[in-house]
Amino acid sequence: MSLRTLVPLSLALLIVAPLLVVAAQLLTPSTEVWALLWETQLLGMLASTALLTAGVGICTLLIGTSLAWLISAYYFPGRRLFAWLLVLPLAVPSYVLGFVFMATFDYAGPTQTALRAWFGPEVWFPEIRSLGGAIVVLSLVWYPYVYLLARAAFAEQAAAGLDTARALGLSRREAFTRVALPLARPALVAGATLAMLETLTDFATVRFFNVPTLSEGVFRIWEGMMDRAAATELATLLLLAALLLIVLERILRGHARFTQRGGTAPRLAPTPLRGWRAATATLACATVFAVAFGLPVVQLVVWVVRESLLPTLPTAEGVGWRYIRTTVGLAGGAALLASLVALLLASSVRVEPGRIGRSATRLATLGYAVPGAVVGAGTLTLLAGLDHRLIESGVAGGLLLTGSLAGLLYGYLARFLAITYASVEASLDRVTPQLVESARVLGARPLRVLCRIHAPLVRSGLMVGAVLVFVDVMKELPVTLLLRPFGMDTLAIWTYMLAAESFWQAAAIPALIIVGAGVIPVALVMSGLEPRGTP
Amino acid sequence: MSVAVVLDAVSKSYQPGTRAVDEVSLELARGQVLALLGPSGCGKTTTLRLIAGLERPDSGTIAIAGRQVAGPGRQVPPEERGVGLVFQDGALFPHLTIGGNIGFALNRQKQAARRARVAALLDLVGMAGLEERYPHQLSGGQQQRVALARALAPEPAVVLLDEPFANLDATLRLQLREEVIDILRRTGTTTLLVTHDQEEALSLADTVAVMFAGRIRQVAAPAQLYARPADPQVATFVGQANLLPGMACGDCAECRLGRVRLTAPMHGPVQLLIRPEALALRPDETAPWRVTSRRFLGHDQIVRLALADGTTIVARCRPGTPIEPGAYVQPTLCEPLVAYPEEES
Amino acid sequence: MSRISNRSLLRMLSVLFLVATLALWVNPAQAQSVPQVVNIYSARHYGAMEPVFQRFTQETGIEVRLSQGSTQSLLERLRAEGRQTPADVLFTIDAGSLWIAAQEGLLQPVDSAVLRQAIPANLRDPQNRWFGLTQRARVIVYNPNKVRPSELSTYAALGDRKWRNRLCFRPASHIYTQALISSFIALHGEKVVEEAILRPWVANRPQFIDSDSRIVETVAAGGCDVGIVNHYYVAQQLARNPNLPVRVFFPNQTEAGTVVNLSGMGITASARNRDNAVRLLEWLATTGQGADASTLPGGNYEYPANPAAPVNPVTASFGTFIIDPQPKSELGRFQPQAIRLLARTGYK
Repeated sequence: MSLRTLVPLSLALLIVAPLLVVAAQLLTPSTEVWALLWETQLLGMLASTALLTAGVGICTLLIGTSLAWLISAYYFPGRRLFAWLLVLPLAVPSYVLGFVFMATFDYAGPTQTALRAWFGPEVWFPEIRSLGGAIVVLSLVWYPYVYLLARAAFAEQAAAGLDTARALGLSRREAFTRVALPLARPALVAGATLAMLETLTDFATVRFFNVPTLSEGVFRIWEGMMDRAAATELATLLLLAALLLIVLERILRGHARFTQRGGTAPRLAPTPLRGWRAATATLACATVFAVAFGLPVVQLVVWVVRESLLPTLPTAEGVGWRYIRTTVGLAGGAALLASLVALLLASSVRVEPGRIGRSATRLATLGYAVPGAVVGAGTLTLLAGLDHRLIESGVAGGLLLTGSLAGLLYGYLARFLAITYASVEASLDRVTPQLVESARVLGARPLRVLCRIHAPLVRSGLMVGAVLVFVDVMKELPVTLLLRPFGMDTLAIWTYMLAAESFWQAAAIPALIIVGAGVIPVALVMSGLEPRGTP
Repeated sequence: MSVAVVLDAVSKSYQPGTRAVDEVSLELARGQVLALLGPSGCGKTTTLRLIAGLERPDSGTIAIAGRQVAGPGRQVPPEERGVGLVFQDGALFPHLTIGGNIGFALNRQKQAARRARVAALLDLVGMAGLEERYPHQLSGGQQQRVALARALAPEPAVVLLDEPFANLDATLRLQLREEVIDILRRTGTTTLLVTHDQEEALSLADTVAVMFAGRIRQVAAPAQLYARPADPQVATFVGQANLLPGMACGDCAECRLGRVRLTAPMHGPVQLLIRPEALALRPDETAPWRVTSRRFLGHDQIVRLALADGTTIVARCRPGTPIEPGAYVQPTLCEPLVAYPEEES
Repeated sequence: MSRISNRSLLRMLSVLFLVATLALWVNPAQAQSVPQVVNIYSARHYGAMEPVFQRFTQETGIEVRLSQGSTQSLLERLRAEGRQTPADVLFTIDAGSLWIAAQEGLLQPVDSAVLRQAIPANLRDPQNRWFGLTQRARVIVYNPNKVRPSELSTYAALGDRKWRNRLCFRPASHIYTQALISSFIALHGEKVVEEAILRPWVANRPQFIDSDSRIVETVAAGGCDVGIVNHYYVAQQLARNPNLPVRVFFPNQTEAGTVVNLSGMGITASARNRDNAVRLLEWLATTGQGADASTLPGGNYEYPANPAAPVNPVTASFGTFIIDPQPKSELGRFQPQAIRLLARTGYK
């Protein structure tokens, strides 16, 4: 094997190593640890994880699909605005929406207080700190995945099929259930799977809502029992759950594929809604947007204003800037690193399109589907083991990797490489071999080819990928919590710590910054998705 | 007449055992348009890539303008070979304007000189004033013209065209290829045109090289190639052909059409090449050839004839000839035939 | 495919990648070594301490650097880092983890006359490896519109059936719950705690809210009638709104006394800035004790560890009470047992 295949191959293996470490635990189960896990409500964790994931899957499907169909098939007041507003909830981290919901809707919160003031103290309200509450919050955050993919499917795939169906005499509603939905199924399944994978990753929101899931369990055992081994063993279950979801998605998708055809396909022509129907459609969109995005943003802004009116501003001064610097530095570093590695891997697969390289790359980009707690636990175990070796062999006097900046960036890379890789792949597709060869024949040396052909053509795609990683790292909790070095707290950690102690007003400042940053990639994605010049 | 490109016994294989290019030797005279014709996968594109320096030959030498660019221990990179290249899809740089594309190779020239050259080249290809457009704003034909202008910009020793008209629709293809060849001839550019379209090769090139399975079978002027193909495979590839078995005996041969004259004396079993247009048809109810089908093409018509034993031949005759399927005709020949010795099977 | 050009591209990218990795490999926390600094691993929430440390830095010129985390993750980190730890001081919100840290040799003794004089013997390690700085009582908070104080007595009495659906507790995942149960185990033994306290509590179907202040707010709003919280969360709320319908009840006054935990510090075994760390401890045990916001206990409505320091008036209004006298170190010893017991009894 040549050096050229060896370098990317070992790089890919390095990136997938944390997952392998966790997976290896499956082969060497420790009965002692599992007995302990059994004692600490293992069954309960499995059950609540399954219920929560299934609940979020169903709810995101319902919300995402119906909104996508409304926007794709009908005209009603505000349709164009809602078309992209409805994606914005994706910018709100689940734990932020979680604590805003908690503060707004729990017994001591303003909603129930107001209800009691009007209807007396015995007024009924659903228990917020519950599985149901968690499902609602997570679904409101992640439904845009289904919504986006469903819209793309409805707009680009259903047009031809729907027209045929209408010509065959089906009503619009029948056409939807019998043609549009089945055609869009792969896209819907893919969207719901993304939402469910994100649900598996979440540990903060479920903690606020008293739902002991597997991810939450990994952290409870790691922190509470100081038992890294048990936490890692539990992470294997989480890994299995994620793999199960991916396999299920493949099965449900069947042989169908969801591809996005070019712009030449006829698009679905919406029909106008009138009267109460139009009002209902507008109201439905407005409600979802208001609850999932309007409420948290307004509430956060109110808290920030109130916090800034306090005589002393304990958290925002000085400290706040340090967190912002750290966060931006980390997110920027991770984005840069992920971009470089993605470029390296993607271009090497092109040079040497061997089967090994391809499978290694596929493995290396698996991290995005795997819950953060698994990546974090795997990285930690791996680094601790390496440190142990280094100390034993006398190379290092102390911990070199555990809790180091490099270790944290490594964890981010293992988790988020897939994002930049996909972007680089897509943009490298534009750099056809003919382009490179034309440039060479026209007298350009390799350096000039890189600067004048590769760089400008890959740049925009790479930028989008880097921005997505940047924002994901900004929001990231589990990997950061497990791997961050001394004194390195991010805005997300700051938000979470404050929110966990119910310092909601103080948590609002970092939370609002994160939401603000999260809007950027959503806007980016939308500007690429929305066809220009259509009504 | 000096030589622009020389290939001497060049071989290249991608997989062990099969040679994509097998001992190819070829010469391109300066100012000449040579078409490299062959079916897809025959190695013609690989030959072009070897000349451009995009592939490295396993053996043999390549010289461009008297300088050896590839050979044992020597491989001049593409950017130093001074060749121009036009791909099937043009391969224009999507992020550069038309002016930027054409001026890409002129980066060492002064701004003003470069701009003048770009303008002149655009004028040459009939697209003056479109410097600021981007490739996606152009039609396919326009893109190919820009690609040609870009290839011509650094005044290369040879321009290599790799199926440059294949992606265009029929009408545009005919028009554009006339224009392109006209431009190349006007500028006196040495050209290697790689194509699988025999009509294109025959109509545009000074010389046509026919390639099968990595080997060059024949190099000849178009008329010569059509009239005297080197073997039956070349014969059928460069045009429609009937191959009839016969028995040669000196200047003549016996076959299903009776006694025919040969272009060169032969003996023993042969295959006779009969171009459809060489046959004249005379209605004759007593003749053995029956008309099985007739396809009217406007400028002429294709008539299919069959004998009772199943032997078929195709004839091409004037549109006015009144021949209906089912009628019996007698085909006659008015010129001597090329014969190939029957291969032992 | 152009092998040549892509290969060069690859080579350049590899170099770039290497340079970037090397540049990022430098761990700033380990690379920097400013003399006038003290590094703290703190389990205490940041905001409330900020004014105290700002004042300390102003008065001494020593910069305070905090790394915040849950108690357990800080211990884990200290253990893993060993002698390489960048931390000079471990600052916890319970005595149990200080005891564990000392047991494991993570802390070093400090021989300081100032500290010995300022901190009573029962609030520090017998070998002076850690020192309590503030005291927090785990009290019962009740809504006076719904509960008369005469109905309340002990922690265990909340297991009585009359409290069904009326309780608000902190979940088992939090250190406050774990420390409380540890002290029960130390006092009564595991079996009694399980049968007489935890199972009856859980049978009363309490609401679990992972925030002491939200428990206080929920009690005030009438969401539940009684909760168990640290006293200063009630004080904070009352300071903001004196009319809030919440009152503090000190349980177990007829028995051993109310469980009091402490928040304290120890100097790590291999502290690099030991002098600065000692200076910080001495300062916090003397100047840093008091009733106003620029002190450690006062800023958080806690009881000062230094008996000479005044108590915040809001906190003082709760009255005096009997403190459970058992050594604080016991809390650490029984912590793992407490966690398992909590899980076994179905306490969320």
